[in-house]
Amino acid sequence: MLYARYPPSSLTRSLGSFDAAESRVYHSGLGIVHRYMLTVQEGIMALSKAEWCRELARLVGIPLMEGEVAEVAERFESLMRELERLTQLDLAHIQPVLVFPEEEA
Amino acid sequence: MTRHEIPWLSAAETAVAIKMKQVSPVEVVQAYLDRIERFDGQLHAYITIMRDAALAAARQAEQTVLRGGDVGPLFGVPMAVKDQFWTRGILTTNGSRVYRDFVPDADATVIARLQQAGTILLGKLNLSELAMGGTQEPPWGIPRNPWDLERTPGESSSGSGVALAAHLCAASVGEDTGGSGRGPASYCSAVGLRPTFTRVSRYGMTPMCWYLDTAAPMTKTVQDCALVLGAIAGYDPRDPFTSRRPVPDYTTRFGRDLRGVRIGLIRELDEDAGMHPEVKQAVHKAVEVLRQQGAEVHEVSIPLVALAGAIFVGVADTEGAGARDDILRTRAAELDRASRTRLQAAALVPAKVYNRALKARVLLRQQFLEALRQVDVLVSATAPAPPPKHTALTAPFVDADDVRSRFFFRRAYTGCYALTALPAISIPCGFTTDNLPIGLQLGAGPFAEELLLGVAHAYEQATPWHTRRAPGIEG
Repeated sequence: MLYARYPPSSLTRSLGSFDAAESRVYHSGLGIVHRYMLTVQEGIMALSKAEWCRELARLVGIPLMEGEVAEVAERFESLMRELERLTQLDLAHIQPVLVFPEEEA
Repeated sequence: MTRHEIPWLSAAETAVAIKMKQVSPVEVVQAYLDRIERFDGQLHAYITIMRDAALAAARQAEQTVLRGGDVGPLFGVPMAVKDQFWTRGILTTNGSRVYRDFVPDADATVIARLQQAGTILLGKLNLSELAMGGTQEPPWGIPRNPWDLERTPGESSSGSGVALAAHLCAASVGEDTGGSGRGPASYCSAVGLRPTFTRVSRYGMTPMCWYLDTAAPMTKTVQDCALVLGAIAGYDPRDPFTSRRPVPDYTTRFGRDLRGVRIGLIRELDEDAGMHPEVKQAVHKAVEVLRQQGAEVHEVSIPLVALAGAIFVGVADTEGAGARDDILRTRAAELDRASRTRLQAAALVPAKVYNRALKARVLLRQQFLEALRQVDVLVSATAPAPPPKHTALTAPFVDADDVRSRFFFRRAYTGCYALTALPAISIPCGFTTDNLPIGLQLGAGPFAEELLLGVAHAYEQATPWHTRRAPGIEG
């Protein structure tokens, strides 16, 4: 739902059907929302790595400098690739904490 | 004692010499100021030198000594701190142009406690921008490693490492988010301690990462490290996370052998294929020294250490981007390019991924505590290789694989203790054939700094590494 709440942008414009899609999202129920999101994802896939990164940055409110988008994209891709390694862990029953309670070793 | 001899003393020795009236605090401060003037133009350890304030404080300390006043084990010792700690009325840059005009109206708790201990602040030390790493164009000059000027002194408490190696201060306090204190200590042949998270107040220490940052005593000797920790540790109502545990005398285990102490070499780090052979050899020799001191030596397995670099960056960089959100939104252009692109990339990490890293952190802690039920102290190298050249750190990344090899790999060694909130210390354990320092890292259970410092002290006293001087700084 994240992308559907945002106004037209380079991402959604690249799909060429934002208004129609938006209309479907708000008027046709969850099935349509699901199809819409798939369409958005296909749109993302169609974007270059740099364009994808620029759009994500726009959505989180972080302006990128022209000339550095590719570098940010490389760093982001590397970060996500590295963090993908954590999916191999069984973390289902672990509750995350920010500060560990005091205890002895 | 001549003025030229003073800077070669440890902090503890300096305090004793002052107490015994062998030297005056004014002579001591002047001796360090002379060396700073002579060498810092090349080394770039300092951002701010507090010449007048330091001399004024030294004259006051001199009067206290002459009156026979109460002086403690750090009284009159000239210290310098990473420019990440707030100092009332004194510029605090955090190594960034963003803070080039920031003058705090309060002292960090660490600064206040160092003053209460009678130390004298010589100045504020250089660091990587915002206590991160990889700054390409440091605004206050590239800090140079006295052991080889073409090589990095480590990050991010780089100025602390340089100042200790070049004897431009008697002791320092840096900061350690994932190795920022222990790394420079290792690269500069100094001592660097990451205390248990919550042991030292973070009030007035500009945050890099809310739940990983700690103040880090950085010193010439293990004894100095114990004294500095004793001075700055303890509960602080202005940092609600600080522990209410009493602060012990961290030197109580000094002078004992290591009989009954169980040492565990971390297998996953020791078998790291990327480790420099001379580093591995130095660590193994150090373990043998510990065994000769009476320690039982074991090998322990902490499987998740292999992923500690990824977990660390997933937590630290993401939180770092959160802590710098205002800068990223409005003042990103003032940041160094490397800092900017690193934080921007981290700002894009989905919450689910960050959450997964937080969970993995808990699992890592469980594995560390399990290992620490088998042994008392964990051992590894502090860094897998000796200090690299500046150019190797600051060159732009070529592709994602380049980022991985240069950015993630080395963070597992020190980042694992940050993630698990456990204390760890780096001490000198040798030199490569190129005369580059090698650091030995010891880790222990929560609040086990007394034990950690005791083992480190026993090793230090049995080896000569802390007495070697960097070339070209004899003065």
